[in-house]
Amino acid sequence: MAQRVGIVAVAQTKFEEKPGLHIGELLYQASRDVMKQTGLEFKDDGTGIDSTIASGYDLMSGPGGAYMFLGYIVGAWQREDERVIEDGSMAVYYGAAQILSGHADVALVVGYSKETQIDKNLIECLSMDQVYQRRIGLDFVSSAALQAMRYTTKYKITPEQLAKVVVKSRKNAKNNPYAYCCDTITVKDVLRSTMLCDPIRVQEAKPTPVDGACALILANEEKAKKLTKKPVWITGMSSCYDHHELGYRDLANCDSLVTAASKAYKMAGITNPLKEFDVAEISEHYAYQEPLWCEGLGLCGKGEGGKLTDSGKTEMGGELPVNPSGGVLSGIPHCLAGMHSVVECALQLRGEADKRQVKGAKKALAHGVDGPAGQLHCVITLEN
Amino acid sequence: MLKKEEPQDPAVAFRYPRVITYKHSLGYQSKFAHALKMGRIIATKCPVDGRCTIPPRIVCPMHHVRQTEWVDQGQRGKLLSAFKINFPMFDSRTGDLKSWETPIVSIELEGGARMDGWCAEKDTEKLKSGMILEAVWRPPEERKGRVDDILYWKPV
Amino acid sequence: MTGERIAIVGVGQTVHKSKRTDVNTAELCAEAVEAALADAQLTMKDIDCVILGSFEPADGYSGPDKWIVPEIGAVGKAGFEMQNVGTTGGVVCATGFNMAASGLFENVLCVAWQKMDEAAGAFGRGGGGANEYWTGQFPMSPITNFARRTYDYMTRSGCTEEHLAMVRVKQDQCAQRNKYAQLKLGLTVEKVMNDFLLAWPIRRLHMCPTTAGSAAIIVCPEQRAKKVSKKPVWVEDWFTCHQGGALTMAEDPQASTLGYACKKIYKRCGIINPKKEIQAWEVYEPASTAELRWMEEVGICEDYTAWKLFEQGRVGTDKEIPFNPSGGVTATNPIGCTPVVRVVEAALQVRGDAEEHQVPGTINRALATAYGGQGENVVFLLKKTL
Repeated sequence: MAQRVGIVAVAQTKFEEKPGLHIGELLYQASRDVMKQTGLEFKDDGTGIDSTIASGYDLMSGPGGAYMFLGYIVGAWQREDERVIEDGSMAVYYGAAQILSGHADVALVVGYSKETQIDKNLIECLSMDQVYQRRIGLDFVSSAALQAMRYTTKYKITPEQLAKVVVKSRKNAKNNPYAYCCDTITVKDVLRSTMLCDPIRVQEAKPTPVDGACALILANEEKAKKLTKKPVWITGMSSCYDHHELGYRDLANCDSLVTAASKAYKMAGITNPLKEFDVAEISEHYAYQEPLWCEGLGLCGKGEGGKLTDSGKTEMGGELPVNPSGGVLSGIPHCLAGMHSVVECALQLRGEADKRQVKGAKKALAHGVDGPAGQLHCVITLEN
Repeated sequence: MLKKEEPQDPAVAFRYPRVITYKHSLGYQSKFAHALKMGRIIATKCPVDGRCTIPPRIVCPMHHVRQTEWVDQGQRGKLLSAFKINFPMFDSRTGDLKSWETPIVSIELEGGARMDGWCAEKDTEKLKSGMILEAVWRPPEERKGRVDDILYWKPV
Repeated sequence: MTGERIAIVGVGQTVHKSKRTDVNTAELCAEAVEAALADAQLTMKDIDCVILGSFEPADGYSGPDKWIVPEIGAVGKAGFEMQNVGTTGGVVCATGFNMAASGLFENVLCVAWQKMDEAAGAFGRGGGGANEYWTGQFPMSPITNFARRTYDYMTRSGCTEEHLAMVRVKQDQCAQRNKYAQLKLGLTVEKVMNDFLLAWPIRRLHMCPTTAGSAAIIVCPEQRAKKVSKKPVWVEDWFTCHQGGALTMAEDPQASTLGYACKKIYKRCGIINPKKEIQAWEVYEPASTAELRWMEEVGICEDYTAWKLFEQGRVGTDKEIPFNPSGGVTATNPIGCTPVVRVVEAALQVRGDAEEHQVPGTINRALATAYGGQGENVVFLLKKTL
């Protein structure tokens, strides 16, 4: 990257069911928070925020309704306001690219989601190929189940190893005041919970429905240094598409994640991710995804994700704590997961993560995913 | 590859019916909905320039300040423009195609806010901009806190 | 601008039709992508980033990029999908420009599409981007919006229905020379004035049609563009200007951000007399009657006087003001893709490759816009030399 992009402020709302709130109010809370932290407003003359980028599925928010309030609620009336129809990490990715291009100096990235107003699976099913896959009733859950089956069988990952991921996630979530689901749970509880979609059990899947919003302000190097004493720098980033048809890829691997990660690491000059990163926030919508994505991210060898979990390296206090915030398994709404990862990483690098703080964290890894069985991955590396 | 002689009907299509139900929260707009049930029209007021807006908004679009003040808009308004839809159009409430007999009018209310409504006068020729219209409400027991609680607007 | 200077090195679009039952959405996109790649003399291997977009509610998909990406051969590339209702295509182009200018990528492919023969009804059912509680209860659509806008325009300017018909006839004359355009009807003023009245003063012929079509552009940073293309079209500047439901039509029927966006972009690029300095215009007018107001907002003439230019016969491909030489949106409107078509047409004009509807003379600068919702706009300025 020609220059660094800085994260100058981050905010998130508490993640919980908020059926009484209008979706715009969630957005207002989070965006107002970051604007207060920096004292920035949308300005015409280049002294304030220049543009805003949001993420989220249009059909999740209501037909055509999503964009209606975005502009004026964050204060972007007659300003640049654009929307990425993917996971939130892609919005951060685009925001950073916009700053690198020089088109904007300061950008507000927001993500908001309200799962309580719609059945998430209905909308996810509409993302599938309409002739071959929708007819079978495939959606993101069932395709994840296919991937879980293939992955666990091929590399002999045991149900106990996956249950451990859930236990770790809920344990970490207890330290996170924003988390939705932080009940004490044991490996046995997970294995005894109802089957959601074989082999994925209810406790192994992301709790739903949850509402919430995240916001961050990105700035170019010069402005970031002026705006905050503790800027967090984006050093590398990339996204990568994989095949849509599940049969076209070996679901036990995640080739697109490998590509995205290698591109991002190259930008950031990372050669040994497990050693060099101090903390990682990974979007695991289902328990099997944490070991699988860890493999894709190069934190361990192929098929060794289960062993990595067993070794305790990914626990708090381990070599590379994964998801100190509790991650998606503690309940992050749809399309917000990746952005939440970036927000949490930024908090860790600023040393503001309170009880979930990883001591002395210098480099962090954020990851977001969208599409059936991890079709589109986004990797962002951060540094303080 | 299909040979040319083999049937190659490109127009094969299938219907994919699907009902998606949204449960939108009104949030800050619920005050407005409650007022409708009481037979009142209220609007949010911008603390900077005093402009009243319907639909009620959490922040003023122009000044980006939180709007907390609600102002009663009265029962009468001045007609700004009117038009009639001459073709069947989707009713967004039900999703069905429907003919629209009554004209839609834009009204500037006594309180200054502007809003849309149906008009009792079906002849658009007789609707002149600037004329005063009055709200005709559903009986209180039938009101549901929706904009169609105001049945139509009647020339005074 | 601190980033790279960028250029469009390849453009492609499908022949726009009301129905394309012979292809599915992905195949439709592939047609445009192939055309753009052939135009740029590149292959899919050269592309390292793809930006996609369509107006989802009018297509019946959510995140269609997921299954379209493999079909256009973009597996393993970086990218994502953008959407902003009517300005989707505009945002897709703006994103592509940003990605190329960021220095992260060498060749960025932007694709937008809309296949409205498959689910056009869904658009009406959704209220066309209406506030779920408020306007959702009225039959709101672009037709009613433009009825109100035009009614207001006529009261303020004093133009008559005949002038509105003249605008439509001009657009049809332009479209007849464009081999990609959908509606080529051979209209006369009488024909337009006797057409079915949708909502006064909007007649069926005044509104944009529903179209199945796709368009694609390929963008490169400066060094790469000079290497791969003999006729790169330089992107001078762009500005996305949205006001997302901030004002309803009831509050201000002339609500638009186009004038604001143009003033801002002219100032940034040092344009003082847009009418002279810009030689071709591709402006998104969802209804023919909007063209009058847009001409004023982009700075061709004074407020509420554009109809006089039509009366005097000064607008047309070969005439003084080459406004929408491609025939515009009333001839072709694959919603989410339309702004990309505008950029494609503007680029063709700058290159001098627009064939039959080429504006005579050298085109140094061309302006393209996108429009959506109730006054959202994206403005692009393209130029011939750096």
